Amino acid sequence: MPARLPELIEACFARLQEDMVRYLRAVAGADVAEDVASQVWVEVVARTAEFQGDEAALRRLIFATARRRALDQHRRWWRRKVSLHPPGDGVLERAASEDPAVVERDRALVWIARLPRAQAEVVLLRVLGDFSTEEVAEMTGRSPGAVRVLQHRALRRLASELRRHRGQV
Amino acid sequence: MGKPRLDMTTADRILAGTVDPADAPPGFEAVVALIGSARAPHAPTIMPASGRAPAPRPRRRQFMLAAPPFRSRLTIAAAAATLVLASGTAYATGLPAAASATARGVLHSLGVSTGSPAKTHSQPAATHGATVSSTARTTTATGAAKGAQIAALASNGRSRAGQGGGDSATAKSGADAKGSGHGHGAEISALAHATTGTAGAKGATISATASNGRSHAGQHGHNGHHGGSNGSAPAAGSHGGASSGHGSGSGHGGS
Repeated sequence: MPARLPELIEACFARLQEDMVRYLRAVAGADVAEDVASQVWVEVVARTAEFQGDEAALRRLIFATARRRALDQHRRWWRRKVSLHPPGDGVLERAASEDPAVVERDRALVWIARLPRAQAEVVLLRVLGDFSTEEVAEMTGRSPGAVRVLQHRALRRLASELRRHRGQV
Repeated sequence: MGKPRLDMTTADRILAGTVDPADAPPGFEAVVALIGSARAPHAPTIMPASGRAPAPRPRRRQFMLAAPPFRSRLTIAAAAATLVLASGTAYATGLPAAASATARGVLHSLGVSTGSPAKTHSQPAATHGATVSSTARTTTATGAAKGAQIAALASNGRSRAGQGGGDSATAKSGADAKGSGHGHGAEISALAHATTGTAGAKGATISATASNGRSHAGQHGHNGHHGGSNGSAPAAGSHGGASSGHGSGSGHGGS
């Protein structure tokens, strides 16, 4: 298994990097998402020596690491005594994409990111990470039942929000 | 219209991407469409060959490769290079062994060799200068031969003093050698005998003369580190002798 790890990491990077950055934009802030993603990959590479498992396990490790780094980023931000810019959505700092599919996707993720934090996290891990309920439960330290309740509430809230802002989607 | 109803199982299936917007529960069509948009694959960077219909786009993420392999290889290579650099720096600056061991472990797992963990001196730096000084006083050799002997000892055998520029059989006398730019060792030998200083002062005097003033022997801040003087001291290849000025630390030429 260790002999295949570089190839495995390479494949995971190609597949997950963009979605992981999207996830981090939503939970950690757009202005730090790229930096946190870099930290995630460095940490993942550093932990490959002790890693045992298949590609699915590596994907779980990567997103779990991303989630931890995002939480660290939040704690760090709250510890700061002076903050000129809250870690919001730095839309103006991002290069505009001309791909309609990408634009539509980012717009959908903005709607999800507006959900309460726990609900947004669960939905993003399910949608972007393609994890099952049980996997999300394991990664977030919740029970599968709690995750189901969160995602149920998230979808109902989304439906309510979309009805209120009909025509914006 | 009443409040839309959604059961847990359907919510789970919506998030799994297995519910079509047309089959969505009443009131959740927009949500299913939005979740579908959020899961949408990236635009492919390589288009299928013309003349054939493109293959249907799979729903599951594991087939949605978008980034070109070169980019990922570049990133992995950059990460490996960073780790090599960091490991080398940690090794050179003497970071805690645990940090270096971690970096080595990572690189080893990536198939990158980091070399031996530590260099060893053939002799402790603290006593090296005393040995050289003692040899300079007690050796029975004379002239260039004496210089070559001391230079070889001071440089741990790396000095080429007495070679190339003239072997001991054909070496000129000290005065002649000085006049022609060779035979520097004889001068150093005479200095070693004549200098009245003791311990570090004597070593520093001899070392400074041997290196034409480039040696820092006896000065603070070097503490026996080996690397500082190797670049500045002459190899004594053309001087025909002398102790090469190798001892820049407190150990070399220190006593």
